Amino acid sequence: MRRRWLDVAVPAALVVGTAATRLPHLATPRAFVFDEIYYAPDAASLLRFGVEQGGVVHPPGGKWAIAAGLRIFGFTPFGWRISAVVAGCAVVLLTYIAARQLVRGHLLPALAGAAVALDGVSFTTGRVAMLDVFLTVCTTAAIACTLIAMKHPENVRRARWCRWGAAVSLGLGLTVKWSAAYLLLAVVVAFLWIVAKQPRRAHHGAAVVATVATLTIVPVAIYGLAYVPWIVNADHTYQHLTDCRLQQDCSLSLVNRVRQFFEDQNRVLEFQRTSKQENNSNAAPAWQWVNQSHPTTMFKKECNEDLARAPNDLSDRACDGAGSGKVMQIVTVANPVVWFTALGAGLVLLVLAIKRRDAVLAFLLMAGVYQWVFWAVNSRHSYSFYMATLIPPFALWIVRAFSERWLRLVAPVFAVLLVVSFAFYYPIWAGRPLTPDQARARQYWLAW
Amino acid sequence: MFVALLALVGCGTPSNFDGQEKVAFARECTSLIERNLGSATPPIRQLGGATLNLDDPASLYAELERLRGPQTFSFDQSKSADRSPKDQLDIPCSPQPTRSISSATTTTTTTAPR
Repeated sequence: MRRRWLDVAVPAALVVGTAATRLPHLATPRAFVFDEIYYAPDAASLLRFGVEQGGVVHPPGGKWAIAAGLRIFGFTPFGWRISAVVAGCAVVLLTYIAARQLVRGHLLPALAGAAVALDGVSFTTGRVAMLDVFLTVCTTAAIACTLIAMKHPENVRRARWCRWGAAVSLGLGLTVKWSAAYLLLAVVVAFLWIVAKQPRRAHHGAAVVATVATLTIVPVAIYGLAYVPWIVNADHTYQHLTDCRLQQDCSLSLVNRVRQFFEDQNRVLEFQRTSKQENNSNAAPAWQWVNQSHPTTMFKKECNEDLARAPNDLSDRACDGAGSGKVMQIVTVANPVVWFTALGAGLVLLVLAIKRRDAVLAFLLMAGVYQWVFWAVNSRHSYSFYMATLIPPFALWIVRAFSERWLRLVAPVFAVLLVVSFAFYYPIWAGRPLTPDQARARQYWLAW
Repeated sequence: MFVALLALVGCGTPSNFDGQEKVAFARECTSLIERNLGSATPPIRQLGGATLNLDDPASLYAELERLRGPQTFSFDQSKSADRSPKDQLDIPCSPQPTRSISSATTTTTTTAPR
């Protein structure tokens, strides 16, 4: 007998559990963590003027999501971080939904959701006002839509809806970061496979064209729509205000607004092409992700009891209650149990995909690998928080491997180690002060 | 849900938003200065002609309140049209050594250009 109540109870428990781990101390520190210094003020500008005032290097989608938190809770640390928590919970839920398409029952899908909830990269990016968690919601939604369609490729109606879902998800992802496009090729190939599996009809060629068109035109259209507020409010950008002051010409026709939009896109492109970041101690080539040897330290502060004497309007409370000599840091490093198990699971799936010629496994591998390889072959330096989009497909790799009969007994061991590892690393993910020895114990086994 | 989100962010800023933003910048600035002082031996630096000493917190925070308190941050467009909010923190919140000491290149952002 099918236990329907579990269909609601399991995902609800995952979402509540994720929120329960991420909400405590969310407003600490009360200073900006890493690139929050860009995105929180940019989100405030969106609320005030409908456009970011400064030169930007990413589209506005993720900043609009941060702005929603600011609108409800004000310009406070909780306000600029709460949208990330909501998005992080959505990522866990979507991973669970995607896993339901791959394996039977509730236990392994719940384990996939838990692996994302208790991973360090997901955890840290899901608690700061940066863009990666919003990008991850979109890429994970696209993966989930694709897997739902692949489960019953003969169902034409379902495949069409899922294709639109994937296209909209990728489009929303593009409005957050251009790197959403890394997943596009894997999704297009998967939906072409679905078309090939459907009953042959007279308009088979048209179905192929419709698939490619939907998955390319819809994302681009959504990207364009996201810039409508920008074009309408372009007269509030610093670029225009500076031009206005220097050239004494403050008029801005529609043609000029569109020209400025393309200039803005060109600036984003130029940043992506030329950003080498050699002098940034937190940047590292993406191939170094393989052993987690160069994580990004998002925030670090040596604690001192005298800091407690700062007045309320100046205190960041990073070291609240901690004695002198302790160190508070937030480090974006993956949960080693999730990361290294996923790498092993990936190899297992690769062998199975080749041996069984399994298209679903091939898509699953592509969904993870494509989002890594494009960074690895790019000369642009990257940061460990870019791995956020990899964690959901990695969790799917793990549970899909565990669904094989000969690996089934490993799942409970993995679950226990996952929780133990999360508890051990929690202080450096959540920014809880540690003694130098305790901090060193959490990095001793990595060249970090 | 998407429409509700659009409606939400389309209704402007909540009350006291500007004041909250000034406090957030003052806390960020103080945090940057505290971290800068924490890496100095002895923990003494110069800022705006004043001496900041982490070992004398009463005087340190009195100076910071005066030099970099919330009221010192302004987001008036007409005065700072070519400065992004981050520009208001980079130099003003970087106290200088009392003697010439080279600093490390460690950074706490991606240093994306504005």
